[in-house]
Amino acid sequence: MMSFLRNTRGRSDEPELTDGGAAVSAPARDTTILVGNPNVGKSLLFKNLTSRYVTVSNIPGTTVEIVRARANFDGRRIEIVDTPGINDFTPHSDDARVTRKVLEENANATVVQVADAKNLRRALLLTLQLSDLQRPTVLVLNMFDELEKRGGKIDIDRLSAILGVPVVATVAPANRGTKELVEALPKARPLRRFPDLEGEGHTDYARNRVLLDKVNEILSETYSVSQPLNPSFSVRLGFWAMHPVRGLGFLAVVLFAVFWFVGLFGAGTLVEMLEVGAFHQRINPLLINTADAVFSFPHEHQVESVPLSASIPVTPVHNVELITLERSVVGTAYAISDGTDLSVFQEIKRFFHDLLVGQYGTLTMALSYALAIVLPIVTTFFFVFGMLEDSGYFPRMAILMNKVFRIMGLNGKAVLPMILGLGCDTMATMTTRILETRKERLVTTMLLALAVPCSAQLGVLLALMATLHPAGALVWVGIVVGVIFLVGWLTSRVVGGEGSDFILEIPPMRRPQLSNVLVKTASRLNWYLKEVIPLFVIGTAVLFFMDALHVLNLIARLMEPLVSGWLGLPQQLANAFLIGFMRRDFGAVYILDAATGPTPELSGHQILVAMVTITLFMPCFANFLMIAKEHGMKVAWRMAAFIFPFAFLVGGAVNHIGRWLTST
Amino acid sequence: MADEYLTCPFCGFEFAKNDTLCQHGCPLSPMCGLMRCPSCQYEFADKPRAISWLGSVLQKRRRAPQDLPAHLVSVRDLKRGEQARVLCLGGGTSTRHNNLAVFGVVPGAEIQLIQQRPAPVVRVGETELALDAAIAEEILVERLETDQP
Repeated sequence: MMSFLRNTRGRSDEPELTDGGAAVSAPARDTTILVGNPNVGKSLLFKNLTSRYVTVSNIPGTTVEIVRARANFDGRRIEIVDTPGINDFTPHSDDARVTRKVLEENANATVVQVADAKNLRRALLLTLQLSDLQRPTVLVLNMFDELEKRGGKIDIDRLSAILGVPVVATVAPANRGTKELVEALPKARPLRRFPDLEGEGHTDYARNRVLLDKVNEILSETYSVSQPLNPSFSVRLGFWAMHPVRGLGFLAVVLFAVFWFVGLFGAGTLVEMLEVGAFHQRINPLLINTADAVFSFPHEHQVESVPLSASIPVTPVHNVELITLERSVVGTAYAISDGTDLSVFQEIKRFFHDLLVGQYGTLTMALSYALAIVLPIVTTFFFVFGMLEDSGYFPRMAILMNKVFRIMGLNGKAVLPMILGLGCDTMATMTTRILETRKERLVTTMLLALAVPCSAQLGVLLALMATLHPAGALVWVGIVVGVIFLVGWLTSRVVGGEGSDFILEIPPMRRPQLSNVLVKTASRLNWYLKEVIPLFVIGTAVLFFMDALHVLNLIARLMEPLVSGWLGLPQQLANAFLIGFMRRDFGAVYILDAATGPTPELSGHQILVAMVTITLFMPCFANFLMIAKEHGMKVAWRMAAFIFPFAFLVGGAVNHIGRWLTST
Repeated sequence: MADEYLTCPFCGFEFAKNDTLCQHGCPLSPMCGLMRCPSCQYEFADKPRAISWLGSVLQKRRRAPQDLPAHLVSVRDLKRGEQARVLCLGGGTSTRHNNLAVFGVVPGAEIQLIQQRPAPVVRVGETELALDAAIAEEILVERLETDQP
C-alpha cells in the first residue's frame, strides 16, 4: 500500500520507500531507524540529523509515510529512516504494520527509539515490545525540557543500566543532544531480556498488561515527579480551549482570526494588490504588448482604466486605506482594424496570440488566476493552519465536535481532515488515513469532495459573497452545513461497517515556532503550486481550443435546459460549470467574472444559486485521482456520479424555492 | 456491564463474554451477534435485538441499572480534578482495551479527571486522553483521596 503513496507534503523530488526498497547503495549496517510513539518529535529529530525537512506538527500521527535520507557524521555515511508514530507494536494498525515491515527489511539497522521524556511509561511499553526483536537500540528521551518544567526527573544512568542500552536526553526543537545521539549510535546494543516477561500473555491485551507491570517497576526505580508549581499560561489556555463554554468562545475567536487573516487580509488586500496592482496594471499589458510584437496582425486592444484600491481590513466594513492608484492600460479585448481581411498567415498568428493573451489566454488568464488569486489565499491559509496545528489546538477542537460528528457516524478525529480540507481537499483526502475504519474514511472523503470548499475556492467564494446581501451569505453557509450533515448521515447509512471508539490523545498546547510554521507553509505551497499551475494552464488551453472550435457554444447550448431552465442562470455560465468539472474554484472564477465588473450579469438570487451549485462540485481532477488512489476507481466514479447530479439538484432547489419565496 | 458474563441457555455454563470463540478474528463477528458457549458450542443470541427504530432509541437512552459496590464508580461520575484508580475497563472488545492500555489506562492505573463536558478527558501520567462518553461510562474506578483541599 505504501508503494504508490505520493508525497503530498512537497517532497516529491526525494527518494521514497518502495516495496523491497531496502538500502542498496549504502551498507545496510549504517542504517538507523527512528521509531516511537506519535507526537514525540521523531520527525524533528530526523530533520536535525539529516537537515531534511519532514512536515512536523503538534498532532499525533502526522507522518503518514516512510521518509529516508542520508546523513554524514565525521565521514560516516548513515541512512536514517523516519517511521510513523505507534503506540503499540502489535500489528493492529496500518502504522504498526508499516513500521514492522521497515524493521524487517532493514535487518541490520540500528533502532533509535524516540521517547517523550514526560511520557516515559508509554515509551517503555513500546521499548519492551521492541525488545523481542533483539536489535541494537538507542533510547532517546526527547522533550527533556518539558519534563523538567513539569518537575519530573529521570535517572538516565540507572535507566540505561536496567535496559542495557545507551540512553540520550535531547530537546529536538532547540537541536540539543543531537551530537550526543550521534556519538551513542555505535554503542547501540540489543535490549536486555527480562526473564520474567518470556512468553507471558496469550492475547495482545494480556501481554501488554504484563509488560506494563514491568514498566511500572522500571519507572519506580528511575522516574520521580514533584508537583509542578503553577500551571503555566499555555496549560491553562489548553484547558480553556476544551472547556464547554470557554471552549466555544475560544473557537469563535480562532475562527474570527482565521477569517480576518485569510478572508479579509489574504483574499482582500493581497489579492487586490497582486491581481489588480501587479497583473492587470503591469504584467498583463506587458505580456499583451510582447505577444503583439511577436505575433503581429492588424488589431487594436481596448484601453481600459483599471482602478486599484488596496486597504488593510479592520472589520468587514471598516478599512485603513493603503493605496489607491488608477492606471489606463490595454486589456485583453481587441478589435480587428476596420476593413482588413486577415490572410491565412495572419490568422495563424492571431491563433497563437489568442492562445497566450486572449480572453482564455493561458498567460493572461491562467497565470494571473493561479498566482494572483489562488496563491495569496492559499499562502495565508496554510500559514494560519500551520500555526494552529503546531499550537495543539485541533485535537481540542475535536473534543468540542465529537458529539456533532457522531450524527454522521464519525467521531471528533474527523475534524482534522475536514479542516485541512479548507486548505486543500486533495491533501486532506490523503490524511483521512488517520481515521481508523473504512467507513469513517469513506464518509470523510465524500464530505471533502462534496461540500468542504478548499482555500482557492473559498477565496473566490468570499469575493462573490461580498457582492451578496449578508443574509445571502448566511443562507449559503446554512445550505453547505446542512448538506454536510445530510449527506454525511446518508453516507454513513449506505456505507456498512463500524465507527470507531473516540480515544484521542490531547497534546500539550505549545507556542508555535515561526520558523517551523514558515518552512511547513513553504513545503505545502510548493506541492500545491506544482499540482495547480499545470492544471490551470492546461484547463485554460482546453477551454481556448473548445472556444476556437465552437465546441464551447455547442456544449453551452446542450447544457442550456440545465443551466438556464433548471438553475435559472444565463446561458454562458455553462462555461463555468464545464470548467468546474476540472476545478471547481476555476468555475467559481467565471461566476465571479459574471457577477462583478461594470455590468453585472447576475442578480443576487442567481449568484446564490451559482455559488451553491459550484460549491458542491467535486474539488478538482487531482482530488478525483486521490480518491481513486485511496479507495479505488470504483468508489471514485460512484462518488462523482453522486456529487455532480446532486450539486445541480441542490442548486435547482435553491433556485425554485428562492423564486417561490420572493414571489409570495 | 451487565452482559460481561453470560450463561449458556443450553448447558448453564457461565463464561466471560470475551471468551466466546467467535469474538476474536472471526470475519463475520461484526454482523453476527451470536455467542458460542465455550463448553457445549451451543450458539445463542447475546441479547434480543431491538425490533423497531423506536425500540433502539429507547434502549439507547435507558442507562442500565448497575448493582455496584459503593466504592466503585464510573469515570462519568467523577468530578473535575478528582483522582481515581482504574479497576475495570468494562465491556467492549479487547481491541478497545488494548487501545486504552497503550495509553496507560489499565486496571491499577491512577487517573485524574480533567473535564466531563463536552467529552470526558482524563489524565494518565502526562498523557491527556479524550474519550467517548460511552467508553468513560464503562470504565470503573475507585476514588482516591486527593491532597488538595
